[in-house]
Amino acid sequence: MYRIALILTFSTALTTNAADINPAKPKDKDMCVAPPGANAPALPAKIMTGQGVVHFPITTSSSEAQQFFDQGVAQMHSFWAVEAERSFLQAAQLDPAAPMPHWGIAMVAAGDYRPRFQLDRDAPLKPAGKKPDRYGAEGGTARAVAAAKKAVALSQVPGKATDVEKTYIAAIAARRDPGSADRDEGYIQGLRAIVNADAGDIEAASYLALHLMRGFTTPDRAPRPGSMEAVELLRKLVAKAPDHPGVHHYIIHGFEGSTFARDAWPSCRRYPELVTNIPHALHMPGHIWAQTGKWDEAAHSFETAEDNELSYMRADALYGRYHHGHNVQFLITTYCFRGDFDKAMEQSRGLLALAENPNEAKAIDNPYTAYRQGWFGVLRTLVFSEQWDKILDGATLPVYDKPREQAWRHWATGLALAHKGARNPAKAELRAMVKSLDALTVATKDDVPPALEVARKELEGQILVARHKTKQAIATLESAAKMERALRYTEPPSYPRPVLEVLAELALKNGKLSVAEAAYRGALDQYPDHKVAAEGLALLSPRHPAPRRLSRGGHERRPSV
Amino acid sequence: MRLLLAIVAALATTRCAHHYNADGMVMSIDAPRRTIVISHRDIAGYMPAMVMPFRVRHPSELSSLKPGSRVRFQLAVKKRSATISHVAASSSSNSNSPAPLLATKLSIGQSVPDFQLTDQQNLPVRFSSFRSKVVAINFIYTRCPLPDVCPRLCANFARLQKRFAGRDLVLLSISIDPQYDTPEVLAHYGKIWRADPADWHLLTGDSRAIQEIAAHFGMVYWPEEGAMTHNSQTAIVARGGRLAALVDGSAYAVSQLGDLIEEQLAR
Repeated sequence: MYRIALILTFSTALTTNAADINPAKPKDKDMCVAPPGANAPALPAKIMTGQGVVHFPITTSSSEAQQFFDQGVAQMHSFWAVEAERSFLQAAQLDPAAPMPHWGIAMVAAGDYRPRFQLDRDAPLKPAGKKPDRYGAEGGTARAVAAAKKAVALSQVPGKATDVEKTYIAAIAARRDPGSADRDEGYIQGLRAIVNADAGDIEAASYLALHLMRGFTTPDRAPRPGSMEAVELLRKLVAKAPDHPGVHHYIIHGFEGSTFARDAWPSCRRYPELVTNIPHALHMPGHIWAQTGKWDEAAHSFETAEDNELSYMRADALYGRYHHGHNVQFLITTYCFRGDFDKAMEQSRGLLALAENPNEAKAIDNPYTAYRQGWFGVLRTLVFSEQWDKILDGATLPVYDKPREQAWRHWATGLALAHKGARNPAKAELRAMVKSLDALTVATKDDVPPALEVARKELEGQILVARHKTKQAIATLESAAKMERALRYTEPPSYPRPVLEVLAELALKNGKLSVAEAAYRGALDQYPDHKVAAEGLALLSPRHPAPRRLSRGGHERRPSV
Repeated sequence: MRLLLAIVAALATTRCAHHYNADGMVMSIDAPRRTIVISHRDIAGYMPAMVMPFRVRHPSELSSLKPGSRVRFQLAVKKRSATISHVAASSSSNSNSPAPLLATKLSIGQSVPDFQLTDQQNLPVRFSSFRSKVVAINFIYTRCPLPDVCPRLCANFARLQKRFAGRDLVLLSISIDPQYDTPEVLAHYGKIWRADPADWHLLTGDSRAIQEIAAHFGMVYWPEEGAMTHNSQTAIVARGGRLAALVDGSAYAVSQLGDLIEEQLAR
């Protein structure tokens, strides 16, 4: 027997210590999940293909409402908030007396049906009292709160909701209760009540797992509280429901950033087979493939997602671009790791063709627009492939007059000059970079983004190299590499290229073989099977006749050692 | 002594004046005569909504106003005269609405360049074919989720269609989402508003062409994560094809827009 009151009076004790979560700054977020609509979808839903098959039977007088409800749940499992809300709205219209479609709207409209570690990370994005953000999350939250109230009201009509449905509704009502001291805990306890009563309830168990996963620390990949419970739950669920799209999706999220990310490989294969027509579903396996060194598979995931997303973009001028920018940025990164620099450049230019709208263009610091993702893609590609002349030509990397992008451009220019031995001009770029960072902190009223702190340190190291102060240079680059590995987990990595590889090559060149070996091993731990680090390590093998030239995808990177 | 008496008399008169705050829409301006015709809302305690001319105390207050401008003002009523002052244009656009690009915007009195689009009956509609009529133009998109914006603009046109039935008025609603708003979609949407395709054309066409047309009237819009960010402009074009008035936003009183049209029809 389930009781709504039970949920609403749960203890407010936290399952984790908030201080352990270490919420990141806004600059650490990504656009991996398409944002919810600023307003409720205006058009009716249609039954769509390739959304994944889920059946969640509800109390309804309409088989058509059940069909749209199931579609909404399937779309929710792939975090497609806008379409899920549309499907739930349609179900509600078909059966106005049914409470569960409103439960569905309450689940998705706020755009926070996502892994808990992403919510922890993004929490500082919306401090109390700030005006609504541009994604309309506040508007979505209001819709979610209203829907939860409606679901509660309808569920109290005799015969309109089962006890289990009432508990589902109570759980989301607890999460949407503005007066609750701990909304997350109320939600979790509600889901636990369902799972405890019926371990076969895949839906509740999968929602629970998603809300328990708080990710893994960097650089040691230790689980945060709740993450291993989510992992164990998901391992059991996939055995019970091997074709459930949500379970596979959450395995990918639940295992990413861990020491056992490879365990998600079967889900990376199965999930895009089950959901063939949602860009995020096609994109997500790439996260695991990339961080486990399966670069070809990663590229395939992002390419497939891009094709799918472009088909939606071509069909609808209003389709958003943020998720597309994120997906293609990850594809560019993957091409860089694979050495396909021409392809990386082509993809970057494709994003640069997506001009910013006036609101985006006037934003001082919004690195997530498709255009700025493309700009960063060019920068990443040029630095990764060490195409110093192109960085210095002043045209390949267009000037983008915003402090964050200016700081990155000065960094890249400084690296290029340092590699050419132009010490003083490189130092001038470092000074210009610091000036841009000052402008950024003033404009954003925030600290310097951590990735740019790493960049500043790396540039200092490269200037020391140009000044032939090798010992100090190695120490500085070691420090930069340590800072880079401590960056909060994001996909794709927020730093343009691994500092450890740069350090290893410097050490190798200067005969510091143990430093080089340690750095290459660290780089391979960071990015398994990356060719540059693997080749570098092979050069250090006693069986190898002599160190040879290292190359990146056909672009000669540095002189032989 | 005479001067002093005059001042005292003036002060006494001023003291006798009654002041009312009011708002309305500018119909026309006669700067040499310091007169402005305003369709105003009810002026509480003084008079109901109507169209009437007002003398402006300071002629400089007229300089920034155009037919279609929405204004707030203070009406001072004395024994033998009434003047208005503190005339200020008020935008009815949402503060988040984009500002029009002034470089491409037509001035009042300029000829509206010709264009051709396709209406809800899938028929070509050429703007210049309405030269003998007064034309009202607004910009909408059918999947606009905000009841206060595009649906409201259409509701206003529906009322205008009813008020001016059988007269020389043509209504044009141009879609800013033409890829989605095909003639079929517009036909369905037109039925919701009971648009008579004989004098209310819902138009679609090439998106670049529409962007150009919209810019003439100060319309700015762009897609943004699932919706269209846009301002709202309603244009009144006089017989002969010259821009007669431009009304900003969607929160105006439809009766005022009707008065503006009435004035053009009477010419």
